[in-house]
Amino acid sequence: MELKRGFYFTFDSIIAGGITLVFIILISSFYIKEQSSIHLNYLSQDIIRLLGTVTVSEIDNNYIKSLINDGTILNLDNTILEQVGEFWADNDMVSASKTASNVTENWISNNTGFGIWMDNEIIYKRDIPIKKYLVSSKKMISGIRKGGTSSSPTRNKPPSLWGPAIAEVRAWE
Amino acid sequence: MKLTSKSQAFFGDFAVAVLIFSFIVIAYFTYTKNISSQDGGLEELLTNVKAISSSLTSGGYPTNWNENNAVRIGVTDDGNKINNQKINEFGKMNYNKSKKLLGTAYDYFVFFLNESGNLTNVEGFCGIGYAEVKISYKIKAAYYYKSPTDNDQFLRSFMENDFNADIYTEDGTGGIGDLDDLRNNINNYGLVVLEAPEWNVGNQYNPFKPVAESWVSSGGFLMISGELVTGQKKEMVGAAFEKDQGLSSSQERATIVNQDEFINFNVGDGLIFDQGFTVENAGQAVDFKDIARFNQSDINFNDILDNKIAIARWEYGDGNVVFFSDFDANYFAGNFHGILETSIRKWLSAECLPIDISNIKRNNLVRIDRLIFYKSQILKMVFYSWS
Repeated sequence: MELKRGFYFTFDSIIAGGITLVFIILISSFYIKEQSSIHLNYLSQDIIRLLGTVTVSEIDNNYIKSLINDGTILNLDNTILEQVGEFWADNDMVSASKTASNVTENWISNNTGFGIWMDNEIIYKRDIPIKKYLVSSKKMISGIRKGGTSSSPTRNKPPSLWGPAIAEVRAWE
Repeated sequence: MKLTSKSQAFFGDFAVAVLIFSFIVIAYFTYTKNISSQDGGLEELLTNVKAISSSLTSGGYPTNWNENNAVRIGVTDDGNKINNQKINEFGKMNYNKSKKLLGTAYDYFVFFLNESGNLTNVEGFCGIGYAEVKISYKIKAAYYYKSPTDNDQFLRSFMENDFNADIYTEDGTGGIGDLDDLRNNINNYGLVVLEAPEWNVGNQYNPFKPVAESWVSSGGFLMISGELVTGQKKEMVGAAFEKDQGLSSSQERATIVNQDEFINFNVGDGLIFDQGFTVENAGQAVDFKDIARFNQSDINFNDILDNKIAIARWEYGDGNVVFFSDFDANYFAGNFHGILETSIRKWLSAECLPIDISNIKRNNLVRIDRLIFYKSQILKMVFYSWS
């Protein structure tokens, strides 16, 4: 009786294995759920809403209080975001950055990136690399320049305005 | 050797290979299907929690909603600022009703953290929601009433449950000590409630008065209701207490005459006290504020304004005193004891002790943090929900 010999084709088996692997990976990708970026959404939304509504006179913050006391902040009705914008418009980037960081720093976890931009110009940013998500919330703001208004502005003596500018809060991981 | 170009197939090996492959494919899909169904429950919970957190950080509906007319619960004004009225309505609302209004079948608990990560008392609430999450305050409290046979012990269970208060009675029965023990221990407490003590002048009032005044003036918080002392116009902690002729009969009507930032009564609303006892400023009370006055024979609001006082609060030294004619009372516009208990938590602004939710039985747990603004500071509102 003639001996039957089997033939094994290595190249074919590698291709077959590869096809099976790709198939399994593709199927798996439908079932693996990506980590949600929901908390970043809420973080950026909440911060821009708070900064856009809480005034500098309302918040209990030592840095802002010191700026009020030394006369750097004159308009106590400014929201925090308007105040940051006013500093930015006056090219006082140090005060703008410190105001933004002082109010927000304690609410952002150490592994979360966070920053505030004004018309795409960085006001304050944490140096954490973007790995997965970046979420952004924007608000359009404007205001009166520091010392840009007399006690009784008129049509002939209008207040000096800045803006409108787009304030943007970005949060990322 | 001559090679043939014919292939060879081994059907036995092929059948085994197909079986093994089929088994692996079936096992894989069974496993992933289970993961998928678990995710479905979590996904639904997450969707629910997102909707609730958005609702809570809104103003709710109608704009000035209250416990009775609420359609949607929201506790902030525009811009995530806590609205005190709305958080009070939410805090005192029946839990099942709040779940219905929030549109959730899942249990929930919400609390607030300050920037140091400590639990913060917001309008008297350390947390709102699922009753089995234990809330406790960092304040040592004592509650004194006459005796276990006396009806006037309306705040006893509240003081025991919420403040883990030490209980004292006239002779020590039903408590950890008698009046002398309370007098000796008073400096250990931040809050003392005296409900209808009915002290005699010689043995009880006279020795207690200087100790109580020293304790309150150094920062203690004292609540008094009913008859403090059987003698008329006896003074203590800056005020004079009396059981006035005509007020001693039961069911005394009174009217709220001044809005108070802590107690959620509305000016003009009526109350009925089971018994009428009154207080007036004896000269040493600071910022003495009358909150309710007895109607006596008057009907018009303006005529009531100079009647005897039924509810008042004042400062004495560094401490505070609150007086109620009686804790046995009915408030026409709401739940008297519910409002009173909320007010006590607010008056004290007591520091909250950390909340432990690890003992809650659950399959899935979702947490969402939102930032809100309350009394000059940003707080983190932490919302937990579980299935």
